[in-house]
Amino acid sequence: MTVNPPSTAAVHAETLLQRARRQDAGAWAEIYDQYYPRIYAFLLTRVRDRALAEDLAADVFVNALRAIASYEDRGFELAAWLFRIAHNRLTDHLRRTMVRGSDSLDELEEEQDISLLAGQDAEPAHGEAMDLRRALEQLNPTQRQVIHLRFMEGLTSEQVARIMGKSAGAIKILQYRALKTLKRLLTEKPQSL
Amino acid sequence: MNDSFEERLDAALDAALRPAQDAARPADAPPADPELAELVQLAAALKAEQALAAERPSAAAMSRGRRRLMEALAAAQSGATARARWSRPGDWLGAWLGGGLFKPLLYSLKLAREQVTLSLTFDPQVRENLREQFTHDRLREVQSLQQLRRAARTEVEGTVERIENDVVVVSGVAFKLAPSALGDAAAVKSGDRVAVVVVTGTDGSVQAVNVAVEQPTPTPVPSATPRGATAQPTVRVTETAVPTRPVEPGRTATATPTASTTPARTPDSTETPPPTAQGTRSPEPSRTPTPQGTRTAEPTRSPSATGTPGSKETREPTETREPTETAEATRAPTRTPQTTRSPEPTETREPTETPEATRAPTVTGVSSPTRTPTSTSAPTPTRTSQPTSVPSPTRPAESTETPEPTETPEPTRAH
Repeated sequence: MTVNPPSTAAVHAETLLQRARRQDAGAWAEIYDQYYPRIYAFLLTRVRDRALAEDLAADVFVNALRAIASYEDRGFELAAWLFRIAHNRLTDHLRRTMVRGSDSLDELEEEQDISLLAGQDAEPAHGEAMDLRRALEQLNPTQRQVIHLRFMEGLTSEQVARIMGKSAGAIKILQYRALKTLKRLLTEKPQSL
Repeated sequence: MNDSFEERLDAALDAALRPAQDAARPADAPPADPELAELVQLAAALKAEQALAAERPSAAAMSRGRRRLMEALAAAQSGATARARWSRPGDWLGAWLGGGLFKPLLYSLKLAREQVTLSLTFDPQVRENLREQFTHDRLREVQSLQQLRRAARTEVEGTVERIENDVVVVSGVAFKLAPSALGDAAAVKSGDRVAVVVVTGTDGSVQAVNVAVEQPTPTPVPSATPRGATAQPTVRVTETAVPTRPVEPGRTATATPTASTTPARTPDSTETPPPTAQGTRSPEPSRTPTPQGTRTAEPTRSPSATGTPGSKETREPTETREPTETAEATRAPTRTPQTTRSPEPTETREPTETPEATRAPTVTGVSSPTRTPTSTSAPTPTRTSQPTSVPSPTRPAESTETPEPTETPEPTRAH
């Protein structure tokens, strides 16, 4: 039985993490440069406001700095950990901005899902099928997040589940529904009036 | 296997979208299920589309975020230093307070303690030494902040050693003047003691954003306060009483007595010579009743007559107009008894009443109305002694001011 040596990338990631724990400014600058655009893009799938996404992304790294001492790599790599912090920051933001503060985030998401699904049937103009980008916009925010983390970031369903605080099964179902909806939007042509 | 469609889809997606480092592994065959294959294909297209369409943050936003992160990092580093320093046995409270949240509070408490120490130090020499020590501490703190590249705002005091262009050197430490401080700095010169608001940046910069020259006078020396306190009132006195004296602050104590200069105000009251004018008025009423009033006027004359050698003159109303006579009357009220003899008996009563000027009106009021009281104001000639008031006879029209006779009691004082 042979044990594969850790990859160069993995070694570098571990070294980077140790330096970050020692509050090394260079390490944090590297982490920031590498992950800020990805965190920003992830947040943008949900808030749809560039300035807000930028601010929230900056918050993510400040929060990460505060929490780095408690971070332990238990198969949850740095990127997934940062996305988890981003999701939590997003949740805080949504809770504060929502009028009904007592609702759980799931309920809020479902509500948003319903409202967006209502508009999901909006057909493209000119009697043509919707392009992929516009179809993506028609997904509900949670589905968009799953699609982003799963296909754009290449994370596993388990990782996405931990990031979003859901079960892996729930993520798989969300993923399936999202793809199915996209397929329908892309293939179906609008009915002419 | 009883895997659900979602499970199978997830596995197929994992196989199709695995990261590049696993690309060496032979690719899995596409799913046999056409629906599954279609969704996997869609996912691949989606990945490509997202990669192309991924929005990138603006450079400004990235720069802002990086700055925030570095500031937080600097704060965390200093917090860790503080915790390490306070981690000695027995210093657990300090360790608790040493966190970033309480650090500013601790620092402000430290500054407040220094101020209290200064205010409780009465020996000027010791006090000055303390000030120097605190100044030195502040400047050292600024230098530490600069070295640590920490963003902070603090205030230091010191003596200006040099100022040129946009740099001011205070107690050996050079500060770059921020544009906002250039105006303030224009009034600063070498040797001035100044308070400088300093801002340090994460780039190691140190800027003076405000420079204020300290005023030496408001020193809160306890012993000085009484002086200052007494000085203030004296200033007020001098200002009001004698405007020319305020230059002499040393006489502050004497100045308060000079408040007795209020006599200077008496001239003001004397400016209200209407009383004397009333003396002149007395003739007026005497004129009006000329037919019979001459007699009523006589009472007024009676005082004047008393002053005069002869009572015959009293018959001449013109003479009563002369203030000099009225003045005499006040001087020698004792003579009035003499006058009482010579003229009419009724008049003799009146003189006795004249001292009580207020009563006279009531008596005379029977025969000749309220004007007689004004004639009783003849005693007021006491003021006529002030020649300046005499010229005011032009105010006879103010005879309506008869109520002033209440001041006539002054003649009684003359007694």
